[in-house]
Amino acid sequence: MQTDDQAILERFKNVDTKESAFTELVKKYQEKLYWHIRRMVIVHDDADDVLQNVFIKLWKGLENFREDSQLYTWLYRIATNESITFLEQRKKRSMISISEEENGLANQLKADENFDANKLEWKLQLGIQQLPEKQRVVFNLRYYDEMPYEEMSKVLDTSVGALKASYHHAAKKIEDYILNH
Amino acid sequence: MKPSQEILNELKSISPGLIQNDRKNVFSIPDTYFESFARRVLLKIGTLKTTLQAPQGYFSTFSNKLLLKIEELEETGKGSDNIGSLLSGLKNKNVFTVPDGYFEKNKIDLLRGKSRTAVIRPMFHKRGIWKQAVAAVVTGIISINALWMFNQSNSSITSISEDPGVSSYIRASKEYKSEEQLNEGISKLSNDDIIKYLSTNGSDADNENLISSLGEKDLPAQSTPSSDESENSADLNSTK
Repeated sequence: MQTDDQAILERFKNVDTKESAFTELVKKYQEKLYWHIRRMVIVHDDADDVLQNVFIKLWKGLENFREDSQLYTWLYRIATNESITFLEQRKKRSMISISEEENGLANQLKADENFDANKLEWKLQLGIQQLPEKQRVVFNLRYYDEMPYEEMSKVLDTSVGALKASYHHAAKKIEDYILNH
Repeated sequence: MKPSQEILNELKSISPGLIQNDRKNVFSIPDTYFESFARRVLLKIGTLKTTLQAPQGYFSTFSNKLLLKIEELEETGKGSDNIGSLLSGLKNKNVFTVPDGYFEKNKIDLLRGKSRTAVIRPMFHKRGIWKQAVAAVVTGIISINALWMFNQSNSSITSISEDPGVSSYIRASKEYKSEEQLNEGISKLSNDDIIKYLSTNGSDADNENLISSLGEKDLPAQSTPSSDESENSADLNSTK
């Protein structure tokens, strides 16, 4: 566990410094977690809701946090689970299939005021949205967050080999998408 | 933002087409989103109840402070200044009048117990339509019977009064329209008429009723001497 996080956790356990310690943790991780969530749910307001839930869960569970694992890993695990849960709930609410939901995410991208179908960065995002949910998480964590497979293995509770294979498939699919669109 | 060398090398072996990408962020966020985020989360959790906070002990001493302030204003006469000079000058002027002596009269009436109680009239009668119908039918039956009986009695009176053998007081009774006229007629009856009536129509019950209705004052006094002188002298001469 990182020394900084350990010191913050100690302060969190003290009633007088609990709030300031929590604020420090939020400020430390909010941007990384926000972008991880945003790439999953696409819309800012949804990402905001999910991110708030992540930190509320952190507040409720931090005192019982096992210090044998990294806070950083734990936070990513919560954020990933919350994002997937959010997407599943949205699917249930709209009573649409997974493939239609993926098209829905692509449509949400296209609805962005800055969307430009000719730009490679937007094509990349559209390609990512074609991937199944877990493959999308693996690709995002590796490509954008540059998370080591060992860390990712803890976050997603999957073997390193399976993650490498998943990333391989994801990158191939995205490349195909970009080349064909 | 450029990917790290490790990521680039990995992509080179998997998908060289993606290496060209410099990981531009296509998403935008509201300005100062991250600056206020921690505060919003804390508000949602409920630790930051409100941004505005009253000094410690403010509410426990508030009522006392308020009373002191009111007292101070009343003493210095500043209270009326707050209302405004025009309104403060008019506030004691009454535009309504009452009749002379109204309150004195009201006081006397109250002392005499003449207080009137308000009559409470229900806005809605809770009678059902069936009750009203039954009441109407019963009323109708009573009315028809009364009319029939009235006609019967009238016809009998007429037939009796027209009989030449009937006494004059019975014929005269036809003319009585009220209880007062009836009483007046009875008072004019002669002793013969009464005796004649009782001998033909009277009964033991009538006699008892007549006796019981008489008051003591109508009875002869116990000390009244007998008019028979022989009896009186016999009494005087007696040695008993």
